[in-house]
Amino acid sequence: MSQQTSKFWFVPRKELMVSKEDTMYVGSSIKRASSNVDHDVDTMVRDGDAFTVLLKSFYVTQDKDKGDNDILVRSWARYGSDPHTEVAHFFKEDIPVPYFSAHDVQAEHIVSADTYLSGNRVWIRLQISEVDGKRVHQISSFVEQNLATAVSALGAIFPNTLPFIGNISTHALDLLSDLKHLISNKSDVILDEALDFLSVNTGETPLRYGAYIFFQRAVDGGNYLLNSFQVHSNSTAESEPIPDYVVIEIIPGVINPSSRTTIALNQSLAKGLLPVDDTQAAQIEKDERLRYLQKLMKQAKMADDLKEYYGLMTRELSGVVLNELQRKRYQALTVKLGDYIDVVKDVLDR
Amino acid sequence: MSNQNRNAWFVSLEHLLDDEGAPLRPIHASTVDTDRPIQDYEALTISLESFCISKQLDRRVDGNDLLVRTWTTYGDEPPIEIVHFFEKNVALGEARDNLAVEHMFAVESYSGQPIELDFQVLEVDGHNDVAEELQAAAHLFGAVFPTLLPFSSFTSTLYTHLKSIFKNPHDLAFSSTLRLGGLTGTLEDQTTAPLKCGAYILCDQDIDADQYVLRELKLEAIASDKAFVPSYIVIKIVPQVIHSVNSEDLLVNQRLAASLLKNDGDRFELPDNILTKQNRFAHSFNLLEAMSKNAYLIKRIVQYKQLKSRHQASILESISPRDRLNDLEKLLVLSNEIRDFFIDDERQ
Repeated sequence: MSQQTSKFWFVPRKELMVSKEDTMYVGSSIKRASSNVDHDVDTMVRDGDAFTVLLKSFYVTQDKDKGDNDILVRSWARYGSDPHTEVAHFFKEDIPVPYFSAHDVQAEHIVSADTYLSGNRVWIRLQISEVDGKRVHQISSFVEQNLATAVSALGAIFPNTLPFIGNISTHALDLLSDLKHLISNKSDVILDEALDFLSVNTGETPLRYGAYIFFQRAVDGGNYLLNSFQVHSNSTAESEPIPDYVVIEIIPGVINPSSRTTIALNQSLAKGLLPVDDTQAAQIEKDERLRYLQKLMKQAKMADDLKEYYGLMTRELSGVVLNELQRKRYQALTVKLGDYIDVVKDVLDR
Repeated sequence: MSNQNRNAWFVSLEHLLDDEGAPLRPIHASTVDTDRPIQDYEALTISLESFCISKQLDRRVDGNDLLVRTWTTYGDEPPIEIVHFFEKNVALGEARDNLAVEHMFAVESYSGQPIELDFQVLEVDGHNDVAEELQAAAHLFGAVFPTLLPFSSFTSTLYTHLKSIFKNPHDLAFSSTLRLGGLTGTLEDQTTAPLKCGAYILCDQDIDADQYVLRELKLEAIASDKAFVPSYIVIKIVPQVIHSVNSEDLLVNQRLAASLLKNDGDRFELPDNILTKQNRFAHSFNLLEAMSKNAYLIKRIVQYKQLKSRHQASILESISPRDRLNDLEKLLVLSNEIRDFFIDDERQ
């Protein structure tokens, strides 16, 4: 059966799970990312679900630097109307071709949502580029040394939060700005593809749990199988060289790669901060980011008020007589926070 | 009377409208009946009311090109910087008031922490006039918070201009620091004055208070119009949150401004003693982190409410027991998260 060619292909989560148990397994066939939902094997991301998108693997065949590619892998993601996040996943020098990477992806996390609301579009852009320049060595060794720190502190490498981490030095910041310069001036794009997902039936790629393959050019999926996030030629088909690709996986739940804080918080931080590239697009996004930060700060202030209310409430319940100013503040907060207070009381009464 | 702090003076709120002008009292003077100290849980707003520069700094023309900036540090939070004023060729000894961007700091519920106020008036000869842009930015944010300027496309020109002004050498026409509130139990603490409603007058030199009054929030010599008036700045503190411009968001913007210290080389530096660069980054990061965490709580509470009403409604409808159980489980998780937020906080 001949399918239309496409750059975007999909393997349902159910298939990925089966493959781990079956010893005879050679790989799962892939179907178009925009194929119709088959409820027997596909599981959609539903309202209220938590999900995470991870970068699982990538494959490079294009030689941009005489067999010594300096490879940078980045992703951008946007959830609903929030500002986008940018994540750096991999940066290493002197990579031979062809190169398949699954176990040395330095940071997997692309984006997560703790409560999916249908109608929110999930936009994912993946990019592999070859970066050249005289300070690449310094930058790549910095990235390698500091990636672990950044990942353990933030759960992912959100470049725009890096300058805010206390233990990253001024020198590192200079290197980052060098990297930014290299990216905008001396980089060759190997793969740069974006895809929109939606959970509702709108003709856009359905947001399903499973693996998605982003190929660098349109292919006939009938020629390929996916096994452990690696694309193989289907032996029955004519052997055609496998083009460059990236594989991402959408899984249920929010994974916390960081021990210190939750990824959701850092992701929200990254959304608020200005991006490292100060491009035209970034300029346009400024106001959006500001509105986002203002909304966030408004909620944060409300939480502060709730804490203050809780403090006063606890005092009163333990028999302390509030002075006039405290009583006035307590009343003002009661009026202001009405609905929220009901929830807090409900929760604390349990 | 001791001769300490003869360059910093106070007039209580009660006397600000006195027709004859109000006499100046030392900022450490003991409280009298008409004084109105700010107490815990009270709201307050600090505003910059007027200033005057009496010395010539511009060598080419009469009058100075002046820019006024202030920093407010509340407890151990990072300083909030505000740019209040820009005008070319301000005549010597001519006071400026009704600045339109007077807001310095406001809080809905004072927590007893000390407040430090730093003031600088710069002579900024040879720069673009940014007066109108300041007004526009003040309209957008409720005050001109330089740390917020890079975040709006409407204020990029102002941001660029201010960056170039601060980067180039300039003369300091006036500089002063005032610390208010906090532990005022130590009566002899000369660096921290009690936090009261009224006006604080900071001069660039010691003055004989008997020779001056404060009238319409400006310093006036009693003797005659020709008498010398030093360079000074007047601020006012009132026991409520003052809403000017689009102040619905003013408090939000104020807190954002403190959280968003910039991350490039051209930062608006404070005198070094306040926070080192690294500390400021770390501090700023922690504040943003706390902000995200708090915002997260509110999201959780909203989710809890929605889920709970859905669950209550589902009892009457034909929803499968499995889905209902699912909702119940989610409710439990949410309620634990919300409770943890309060209980954790109690322990700290």
